[in-house]
Amino acid sequence: MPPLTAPPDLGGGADLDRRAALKLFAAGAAALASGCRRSEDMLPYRDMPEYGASGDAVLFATALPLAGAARGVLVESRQGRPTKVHGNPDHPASLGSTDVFAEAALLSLYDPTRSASPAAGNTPVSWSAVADVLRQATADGGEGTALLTGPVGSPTLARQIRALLDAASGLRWFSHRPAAPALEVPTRAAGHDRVQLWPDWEQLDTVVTLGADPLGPGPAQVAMTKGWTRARADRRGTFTMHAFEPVPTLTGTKADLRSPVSPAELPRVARALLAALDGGEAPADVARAARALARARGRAAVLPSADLPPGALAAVAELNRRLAAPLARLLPFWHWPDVPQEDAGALLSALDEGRVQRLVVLGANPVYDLGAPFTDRLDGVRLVHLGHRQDETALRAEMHAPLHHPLEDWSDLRAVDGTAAPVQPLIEPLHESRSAHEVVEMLRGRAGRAARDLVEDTWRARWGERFAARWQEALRTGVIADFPPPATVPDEPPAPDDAPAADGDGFAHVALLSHAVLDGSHASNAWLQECPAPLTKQVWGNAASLSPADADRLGVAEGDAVVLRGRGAAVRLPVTILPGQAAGTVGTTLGYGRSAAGPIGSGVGADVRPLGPRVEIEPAGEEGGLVRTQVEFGQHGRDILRSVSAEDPGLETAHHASESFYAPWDYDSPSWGMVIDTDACSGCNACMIACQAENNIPVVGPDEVARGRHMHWIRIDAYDVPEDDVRGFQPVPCMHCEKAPCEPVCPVAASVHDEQGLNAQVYNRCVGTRFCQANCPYKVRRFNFFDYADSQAYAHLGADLLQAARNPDVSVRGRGVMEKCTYCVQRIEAAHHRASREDRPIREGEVVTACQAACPAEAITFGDVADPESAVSRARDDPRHYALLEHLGTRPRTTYLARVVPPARSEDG
Amino acid sequence: MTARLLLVFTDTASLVDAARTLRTEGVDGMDAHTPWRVADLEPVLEPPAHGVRRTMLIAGLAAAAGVFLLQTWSAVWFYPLNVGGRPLFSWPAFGFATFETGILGAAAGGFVAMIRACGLPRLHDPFFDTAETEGASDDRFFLSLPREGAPDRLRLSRLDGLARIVEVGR
Amino acid sequence: MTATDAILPDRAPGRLTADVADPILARRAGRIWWACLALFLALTVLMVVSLTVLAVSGVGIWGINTSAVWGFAIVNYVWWIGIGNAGTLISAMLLLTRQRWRTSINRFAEAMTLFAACIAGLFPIFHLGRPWLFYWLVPYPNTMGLVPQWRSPLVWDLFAIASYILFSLMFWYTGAIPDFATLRDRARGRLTRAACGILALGWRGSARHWQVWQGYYGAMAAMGVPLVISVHSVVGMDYSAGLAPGWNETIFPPYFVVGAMFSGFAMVVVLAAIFRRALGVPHMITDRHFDIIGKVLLAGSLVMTVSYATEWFYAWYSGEPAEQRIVAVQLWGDYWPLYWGMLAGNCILPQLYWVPWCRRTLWVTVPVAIAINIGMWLERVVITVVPPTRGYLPSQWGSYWPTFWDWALFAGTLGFFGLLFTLFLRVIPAVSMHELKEQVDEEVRA
Repeated sequence: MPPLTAPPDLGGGADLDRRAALKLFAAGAAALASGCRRSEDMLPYRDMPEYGASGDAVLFATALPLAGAARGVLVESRQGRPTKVHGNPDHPASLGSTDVFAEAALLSLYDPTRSASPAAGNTPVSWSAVADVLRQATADGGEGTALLTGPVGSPTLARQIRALLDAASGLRWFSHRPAAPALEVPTRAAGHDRVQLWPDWEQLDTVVTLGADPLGPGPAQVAMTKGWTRARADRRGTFTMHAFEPVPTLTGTKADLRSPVSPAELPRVARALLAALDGGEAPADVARAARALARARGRAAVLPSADLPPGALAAVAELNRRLAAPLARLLPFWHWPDVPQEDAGALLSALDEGRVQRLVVLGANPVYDLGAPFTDRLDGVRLVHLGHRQDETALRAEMHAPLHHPLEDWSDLRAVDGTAAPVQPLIEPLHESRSAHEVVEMLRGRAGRAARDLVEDTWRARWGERFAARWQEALRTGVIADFPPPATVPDEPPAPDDAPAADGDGFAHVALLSHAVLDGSHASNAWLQECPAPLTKQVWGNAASLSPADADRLGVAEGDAVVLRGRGAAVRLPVTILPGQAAGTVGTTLGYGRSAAGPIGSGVGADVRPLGPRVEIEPAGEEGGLVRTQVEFGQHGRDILRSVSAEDPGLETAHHASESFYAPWDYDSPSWGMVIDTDACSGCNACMIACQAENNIPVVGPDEVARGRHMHWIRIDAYDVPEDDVRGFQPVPCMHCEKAPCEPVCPVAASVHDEQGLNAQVYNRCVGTRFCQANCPYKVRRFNFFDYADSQAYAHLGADLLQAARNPDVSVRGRGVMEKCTYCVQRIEAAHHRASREDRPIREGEVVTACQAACPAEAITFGDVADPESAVSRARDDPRHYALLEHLGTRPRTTYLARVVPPARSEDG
Repeated sequence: MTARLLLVFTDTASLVDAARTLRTEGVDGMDAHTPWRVADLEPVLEPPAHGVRRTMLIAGLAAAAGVFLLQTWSAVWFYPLNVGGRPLFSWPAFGFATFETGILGAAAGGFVAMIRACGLPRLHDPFFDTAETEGASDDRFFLSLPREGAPDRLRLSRLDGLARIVEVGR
Repeated sequence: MTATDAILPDRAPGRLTADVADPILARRAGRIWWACLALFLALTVLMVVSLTVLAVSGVGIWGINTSAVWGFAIVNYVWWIGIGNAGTLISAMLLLTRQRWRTSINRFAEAMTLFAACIAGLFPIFHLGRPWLFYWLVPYPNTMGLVPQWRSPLVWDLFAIASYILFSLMFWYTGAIPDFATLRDRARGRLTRAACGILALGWRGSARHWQVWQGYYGAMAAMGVPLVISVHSVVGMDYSAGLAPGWNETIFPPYFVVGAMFSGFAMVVVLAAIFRRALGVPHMITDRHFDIIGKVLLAGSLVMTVSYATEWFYAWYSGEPAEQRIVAVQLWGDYWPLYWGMLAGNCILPQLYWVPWCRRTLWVTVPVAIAINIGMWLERVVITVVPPTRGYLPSQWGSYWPTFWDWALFAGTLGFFGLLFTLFLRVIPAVSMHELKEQVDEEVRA
């Protein structure tokens, strides 16, 4: 990876050598490129180094928020603008990897439909007018004024809000958190509302989840997945995970044993586990889980869902106490002990009581997130909205003003586990926006202090004299070291048993966070809308998932429409069928049905939030409007996603490649290859979005996907594994076959093989016969049926501003040209250049493909197959190793490691 | 063009007999004009060899060899590429273009040879100066003798099936 | 032999000349001709519009997608080139085997070859993502130092189709030179006379000419048969040189050749019926012709049936689940309407040709011939669309649905074909007069 550089300390700069000048140029170029608003020191660039500096990437450490919590990232900056998000190996919520939301944050920075300036209705206003309104809101003590934010994870913002509340005693602060991180559950411990459970995966051998989804979308996804995958790899055969859940999630899919259990049944499972641990009777699967827990006392944990009733949560807490589980009980990252913070329910009551006449919404969208309960109470309330776009709340507000995108902002942010990180901008703000810190100062009637200064104030107060050195260190590493770990929450007091849940008619409605848009806040991001849901492969919308038995009973097939009715609301959705879903449940996804999410996100899917916990389902015809990138999930006996058992990890190669007529071709070192561990892949899609960002892959839009056209170079195929009643994941990039079938059929030699073993697609030679894709048995190639990247782009995605997001090292392909995964050849070539400049061979691990870097599960290994000591060569020697469609004789360089079937499965239950 | 006498017949049998008769009487340089090919005439009139088929063979082989060598040279020496790990000298694959080009070469070479051997194009031939020869493409059969040294009219008029005698050329 | 069994007309050569030449030179176009011209011209305009929209917007206007990368464009390409093959077979193969009945139909059959091959040649160019660069498939000296990639079946296609079109043109033209001479000698108008005179190159029917002509024509006929076989084998290799299940079959080259002959002869039936009526020449295009062609079609149908059965057998015998799935999905899966339509048109309906009366009765044989053409078109659809959408990896299975522009271009090419023949009828002698008269003469003298 290129060396880290932080923006230099512009206060100093006595001795200026070429490297320092280079760094200054990079920092100053940002100001230059966007038209300065504040003048920074700039030096003219007279002494250009031989190799030209401005093209090289410079990495800046920052943090990106998801549902308010930080993931540390390193953002690559080219010519003064960010072009790619990488993980920060030093930050515990990233450990070098990313999730789809971090990768896609780049696109939302350059979104042409972000609001560009403050407006009152349709009339643009100035920021001073906004400042006036804000100041008046808190004049005379702020009585009758409420501040509504999302989850606040910034120590600086918390400090500012505390000062604001001190200054305006009548002001109340509410925060609404539509998406909680995994394992943040309600608690009845005295003085606390919610507790963040934080497992120490290095100490765990057995994990039982009860509806929890730590591997699922959210700010903890990367850290949890990392922990899980390392535990699984380091203690293969010992580490097991058991999942009890209604609707299949990523956690349940990757669990060694999974039992479909309806939401009403989960509390019973919790109590049964407790009883079984004491040696009582329990159903087979619960007993097996209890045995596993008992065997691993001190190294076992039970992870609950936040939706469990209090009695069940207490039972789980008791279980964890008895097991001495390595499970920390942390204060949630948004909890500031000395700042009075109320939740959305309190806001609705306050509105009811008429105590709120003025509401300032800062970085939240309650009109969508809270829905009718909120909008019904807005009569007579003056609303001011500050956010990234003219969303549903902005349209109801009398005034809206834009906030900085995190990539343009100075701030600081806590991760789910409490680690603090600085947020530094990669580019001057693109529009007339302000930082949330500056807005809170406006609420205090003060103005003029820049966000950077406000943030530095926080840390200067904490560090005193050591501030300069420690701040530089924080900016350089992306982590604020020694920030005190969050306090822990006392243990759960015992609770009475819950009343048994009324089973009732209809179906139990389980609404999960979306892997694409989370709670809807990312609906306007085209990369995310086109990112397929991991298990159903649906894009551009949400669906109602049913178990196969229920679908049969209702007489509906995949793609048909159904209407869900609950709590007076009716929602029409297409049907998907998931093996392993509990009978009597219907699974839906939150975050859809938005009306003001720009041209990308408006009108996509349906809002399921109003439906409530039980719904009736009625079939509604055959046109469900289900758009998917994959429609067939069976393997049909073709041994595509293979499994081995932990006892006997050797794969029986029934389909070995036959001898070849052709003489073998000599390959030099380095000769690239890739091994993907399907046992580790959790289906999170980070690789797909990372690849899209790195390689300038266009979005095609729902109509094109419905026609069967996709552009993702790496895709994650989901296949049913009938023995385990789950869907497994298999990422498929280009196989880079040594005997590639795509090459001899290209009439113009646009598909050829290079000396490093890569199958190279030559864009400017391609005439577009598409024979290569016709002959590829893996169908990894992607054709530009239209000029998706430019003149025929979907919606506004051809806008000029979005060109800034492109990676300058990768060509943008035009109409009529075939493209495909290149093993990130631009990174390979950059490594060659660096190595030849320094007169050395390429080091092991020096070339990291985008997908490999992003993967939190560390499923992808890439390197030199001609070097027997390389990681990829060792992976190829693993007994679990196999090639896809080996019998066709293509000799792929991208190969797989089979899934490991749990040893527990062979035990008698 | 020298003057020629055209003997007009109304059926092919008479034409062939007349030609045979005149030939045995030692008349040389005879030609015939018929609306269709009369195979029986050829052994009688013995036109000189034309070599069209030989030309086709040579042209075909040359074209085939040329294309095969082009493929071999470009794939093995001029711009060798690793295409699917296949051998550079992929002679089975080269065979297709070779064969097709060979046939095309033979066809084109033969076409040119045929046109030239027929002395075509020759849009203004004394043969067309009179409308009487229009039947040569319809249903009349013409036997053509050089007027110099032709048997006299009397002898000619005794030929079976003779309809008319026409003079062309000067 | 009764009159209806006669294969050659019993007429004086002069009458035969008049029968063929007068519709061009003497008679004015009738109302039906003008109506046909208007209709086919409209469809040709549709074709031009489709190609223009295609060039401007891109191949995305068609129904092709990431899995089914080839759709109607390749279906229609193979269908048209298959139809074209019969003309050469009639001219060449029937000449070598001395079938006298070929002479009434070989002229328009060869024209059918030319027209169909030219139309077929449009598709590989226009279906490209960047059609303006199609010439990169042609070896020519260039600044990039690049040559085509010789191992690709598409390059073989280029050589095959190009040499086929040029060969057919030379062959057809050579056969037509004497007839142009006939028209030149009969024409009244100066323009006609001049045009035919140029086309005739000064042909005088000299014995020398005829000898040279025969030398060339006979050699071309001898080369024509292997050429046809190689051309359509190469078209078959577009599929079978690949490894997709359902494509990777060594039976494809001969199976395509027979299929081409089959569909081509069926189109000849339709054209012959039309020309017989349009020119008023039932004595030249006789019932016997339809009788014989019907037998040829029956033989073709039986071979095609055996080919399909061979595919089913080998799918089962191979034990390869992907191959078996292809056959299953065709016989009773999602694609069964297409496949059974194909079997109906190619295997079932042509069995009517066992009955002589069916072969000779135009209102039976022509619809069956049309059904054969439809069946062969459906066969190309099945071949082109099923294996890519039911390949080795089930995650990549998809579907193909043609769009308006797919149909519009196809209909437009049908109209263009009709337009070419409508014009042909008024400009080119539709029957090979000199060959027909030669055969009649031989029969009379025998």
